[in-house]
Amino acid sequence: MILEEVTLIYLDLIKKYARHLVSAFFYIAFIGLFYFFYLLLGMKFQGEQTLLLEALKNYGLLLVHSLPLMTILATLLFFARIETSDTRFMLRVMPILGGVNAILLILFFFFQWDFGDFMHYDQLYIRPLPQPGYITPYEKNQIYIGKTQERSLLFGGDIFLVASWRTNSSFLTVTTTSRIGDASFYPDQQSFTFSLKEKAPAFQETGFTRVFFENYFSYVRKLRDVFHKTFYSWGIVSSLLGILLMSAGYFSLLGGIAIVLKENQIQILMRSFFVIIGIAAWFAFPHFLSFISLMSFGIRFGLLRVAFPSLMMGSFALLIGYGFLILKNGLPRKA
Amino acid sequence: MKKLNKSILYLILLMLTLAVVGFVYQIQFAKADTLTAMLACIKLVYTYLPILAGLALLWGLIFHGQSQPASTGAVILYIFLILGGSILLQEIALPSLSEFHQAQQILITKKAKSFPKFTINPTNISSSEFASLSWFVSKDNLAFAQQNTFLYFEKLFKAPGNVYYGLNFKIVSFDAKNRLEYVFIAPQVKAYETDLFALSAKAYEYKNGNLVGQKSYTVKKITLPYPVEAVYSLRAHGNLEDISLINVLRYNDYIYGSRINFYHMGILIFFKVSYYTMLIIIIVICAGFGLTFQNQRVIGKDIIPAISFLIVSTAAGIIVYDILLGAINMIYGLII
Repeated sequence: MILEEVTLIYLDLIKKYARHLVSAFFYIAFIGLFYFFYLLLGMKFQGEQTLLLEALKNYGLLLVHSLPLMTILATLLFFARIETSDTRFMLRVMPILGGVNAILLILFFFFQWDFGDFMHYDQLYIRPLPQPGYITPYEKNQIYIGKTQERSLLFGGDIFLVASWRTNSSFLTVTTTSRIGDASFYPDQQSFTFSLKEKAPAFQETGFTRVFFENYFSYVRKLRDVFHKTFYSWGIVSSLLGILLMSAGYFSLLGGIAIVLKENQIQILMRSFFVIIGIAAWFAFPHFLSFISLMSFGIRFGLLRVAFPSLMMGSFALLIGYGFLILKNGLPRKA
Repeated sequence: MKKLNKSILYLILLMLTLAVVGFVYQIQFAKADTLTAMLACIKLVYTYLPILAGLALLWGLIFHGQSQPASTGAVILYIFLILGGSILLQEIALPSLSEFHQAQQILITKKAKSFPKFTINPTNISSSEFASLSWFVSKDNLAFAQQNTFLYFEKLFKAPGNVYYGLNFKIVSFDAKNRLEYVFIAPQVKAYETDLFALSAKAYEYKNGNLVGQKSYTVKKITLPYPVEAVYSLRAHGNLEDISLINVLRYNDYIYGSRINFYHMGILIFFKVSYYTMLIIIIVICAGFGLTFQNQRVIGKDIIPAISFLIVSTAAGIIVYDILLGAINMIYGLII
């Protein structure tokens, strides 16, 4: 009976945490739309056939690559918002949520497909197609394309009567028969060519987001390789155990930091502070992993080659996290 | 409005900062003259106005002030204010400034200090008026139609007082079977609203495609189907951004009747309307965050979270702007 109640409390907590994960997912998916849009544009320019599917696939892969950042942000924001900070309860909650995050990190571990970079596309341009029955401006000149049986006219310095016109994908060629000059009307055979490409009056992007994304791509690829190298081993159990132990420790550390720093009065200011801390923690993640990787070189017992250094680093981080918790609350007293 | 005076203060400060930075850059590094630098600054401010307006509203709401909590009504008022301001900048200030810029360019090429005084009478015409044409801003190759009649100016000059001077004005008219019916040639014309005075004009009449009559006039008055200002202001010529949407609204019968393919204008309107939509979306997002978390009290030790909030909100504002712009570019690239 009591056991059931306790389980319910933890399940409820995990549900709340999942809500934070989902909202972190949506924020990152929204920001990732930038990548999606320009990927579609680039694929269209490169002449990709199934561009929507391709773009969706790459977008999905980018989101999978964002899982570590997502879990870090969700953990920090969850501990910043949690109502209770009862020490005994928190001692159990911190590693449990680390375990939940381990599931997502295992997903990240198994995904080895790369996503595409931004594709080059030319500046957006106007393509003024000739339309029968209308006067269309081309650069400095204007051309009237007649409907069937009608005369076409070219207005460029003088009025020219057009004998024939034809287009291909990038040029419009017009041949004239006669011309209305300054004071008279006389035959004049000439041929004019107009480009069908003009610069569109599009607004310029700031450039900040593109630079941000390019740096994110290179770092996330590095993180993927580091993560895979760190936890790759002959035994799958060892790998999974390694990720679980590391994750429980690392996220407890983050939870401890969030608990120490949190301030309920200034919610949004605090949240943006945690976003910055989260990004810093994400940058520090490969450095943290490198300890595990280095330690594993010296271990001869193959089965624990990954799991044991993870246990060491995990418990080290976990203890620091606990330290932060106790710094905030004081030592737990007997009820 | 009083509830939002802090936001407006922030907005003015942000705009000033951006304008000053842009101005200094243009003068110092791009070596532009003052007027060009000013134009570039106005362009810079209105391009990034969505970010600035959103951030100003967000910061004004978040940082605690003396005023009472702001309501949704105040936010909606703010949206209208910003929208009005950006329309003022983009549709009135920028086109007229760019015309002023062209006029200044003429002064520079003529090495003159100021324009001479022109006394222009819109109701008559004399050939001596055409001596001063080189002082006026102009556009090339303006053609429009009315049914089967095509009217054409090789060059149209805009003189003060909404009087226009044209060079090489021609009319070509076709009959129902598309044979030449009428040709009118005038080397010099002067137009005011729908009245047009042609100097030393010649008219040729055709029947079944053969010349039947020829007439010469010293002065001939013609009534144009549309005001000449519409013809001048809606000619897409070089810089598309200089065309004001207000003229599009004013001369919509010209747009429907002149048989001009306003392809460029349509694209311009697509980008302008998406810009205004983007402005509203960003302000609404910022208002949502700002109203939810408004009046945060910042005391001494909260300075680091406050600074990080400034950083994160600025980055988020820029990213949202770029995402919306990406959506617009994607729609343009894929559909249009």
